[in-house]
Amino acid sequence: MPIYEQGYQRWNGELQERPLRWWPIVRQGVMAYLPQRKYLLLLGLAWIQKIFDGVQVYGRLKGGEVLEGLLGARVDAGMPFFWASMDNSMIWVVIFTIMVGSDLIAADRRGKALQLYFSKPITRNDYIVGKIGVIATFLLLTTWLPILLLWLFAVMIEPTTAYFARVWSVPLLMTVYSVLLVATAGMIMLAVSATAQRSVFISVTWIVLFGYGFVPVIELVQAITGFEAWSLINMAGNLGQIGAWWFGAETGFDVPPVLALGAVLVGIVAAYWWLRRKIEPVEVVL
Amino acid sequence: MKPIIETHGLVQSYGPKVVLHGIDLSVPPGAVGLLGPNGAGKSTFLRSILGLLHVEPGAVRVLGHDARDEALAIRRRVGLVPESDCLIPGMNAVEMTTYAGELVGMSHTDAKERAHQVLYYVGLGEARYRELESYSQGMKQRLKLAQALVHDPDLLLLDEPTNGMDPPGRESMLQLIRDVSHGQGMNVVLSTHLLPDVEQTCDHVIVLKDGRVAEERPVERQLIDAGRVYDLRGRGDLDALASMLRDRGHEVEAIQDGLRVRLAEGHRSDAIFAVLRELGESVQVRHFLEAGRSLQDSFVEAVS
Repeated sequence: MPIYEQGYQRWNGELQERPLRWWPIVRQGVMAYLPQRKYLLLLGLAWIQKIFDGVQVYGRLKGGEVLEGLLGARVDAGMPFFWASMDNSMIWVVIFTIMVGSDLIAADRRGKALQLYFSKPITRNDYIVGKIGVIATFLLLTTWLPILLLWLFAVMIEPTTAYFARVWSVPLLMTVYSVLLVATAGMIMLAVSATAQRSVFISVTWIVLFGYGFVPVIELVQAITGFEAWSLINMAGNLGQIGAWWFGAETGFDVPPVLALGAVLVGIVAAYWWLRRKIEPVEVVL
Repeated sequence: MKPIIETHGLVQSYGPKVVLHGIDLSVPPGAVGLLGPNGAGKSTFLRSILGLLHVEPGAVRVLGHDARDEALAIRRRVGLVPESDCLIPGMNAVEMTTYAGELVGMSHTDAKERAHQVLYYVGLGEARYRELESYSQGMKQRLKLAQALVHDPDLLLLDEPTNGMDPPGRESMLQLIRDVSHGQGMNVVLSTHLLPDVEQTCDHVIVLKDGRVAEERPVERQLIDAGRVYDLRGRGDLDALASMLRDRGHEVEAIQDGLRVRLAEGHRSDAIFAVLRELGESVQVRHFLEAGRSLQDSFVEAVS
């Protein structure tokens, strides 16, 4: 029996000088999940929610008086409306970050694949950006992109200067906010995924660290001490605070939004620092 | 010939444990064996030349690139077959090899086409769409070789590539290594603790022991000094025999019950017999054997 079926052939092609060396990692990660039926279903559900928001936009802009009469209150499709739409998407942020992110680095570590990456022209930062890019793709597909389309729909059905003047900054603010959201949720998830190997443990730890796990503790401590600053360790709460501030909606805590922004940035840097420590190109066994 | 790897005072340590003690090496092109017992520093040496471990500027140059400042350029031109399994779960062999090619800088189309080619080459053509989790150890080793060859590197680094393989699998892996190095002219560094692997595939060997270069020499498939060194045992006036041989320019040293004779350049064993004829019956030869050192002798001596 022959050992191989054809002889070795040299390859005469040229390697590309890629400034975005992390792109193949994003592409591979996204294509590993996207064709799966459960991910398509969840993406569909996320978009159905935005279609309802679209109906609301239409109702608020075109049937405002009727709704006002029915509800007895003024309804609007201004900046806070778009923020509310983003805030309602947090469930998808949680679902997709857990489903996509929990195994992103843990699986590589289980398969000892890190040395495969780092024997190629890939730096640690390329690897981290590539992995966070996978999470970012799903989060942006369920938050930033549909809200941007929602805004486009709104300015198309209400083509007045007055309305545009009120909501022109939505795309810009939404983009900056989404970057912050992805960086926070993604970096914390990657830090946990690089530390543990079991998906369930990683998911629960992320929920706790992202802030949801702290809520009962924070409420208890606040009830006892009356000290609101404890809420700064709640990253999800901080992000909500920042979004509400930027979009002119009511904030949830008494903590100044600037402090919340500082806490989020510290959280991102801390997660990145931890992640860099945990991702070693070589596994040393002495 | 320009060396493919040069190191100058290469030192590596993990915490307080020093693993490489100032290695000075000049690795020639071709197939080179990095031989040494477990813990000799072979894997650390490979990691250093890929720039995966911190090295001082100028301490390591690979294919003309400095391992500290141009590590990415080195990794574009080098393929590594790591020692441990190193698989990406959930992929098949085509996907993993394609992915490896893309990470080096190949376009997706090129990488995919080339992945099929190298998978056939390493003997995984029929199994290339199977989940990697179902692969045997031998298949995993071949897959690691395929992902290292996908971009047709100038230098192939193999870290214990026959680990855990059964004899036929090991033989076929060695044949593949021999083919890419001798058949296709690719530079190969084979790190192993198995002497026969080096003997079968390499032209040059570097023996590492306790993080130091214990020996560096060409791999002779014949005995070293073949036809020049003889052990001679017998009875009679061996001192006279030694004296006459020295007078004619040969080196002679005493061994148990006899002499070891290293003939002067250009002489053959006839030179010894000529002296014996002159001495007549005063010397009786009972044992006469060629006595060059094999690679095995050399390795054992170097690491013992």
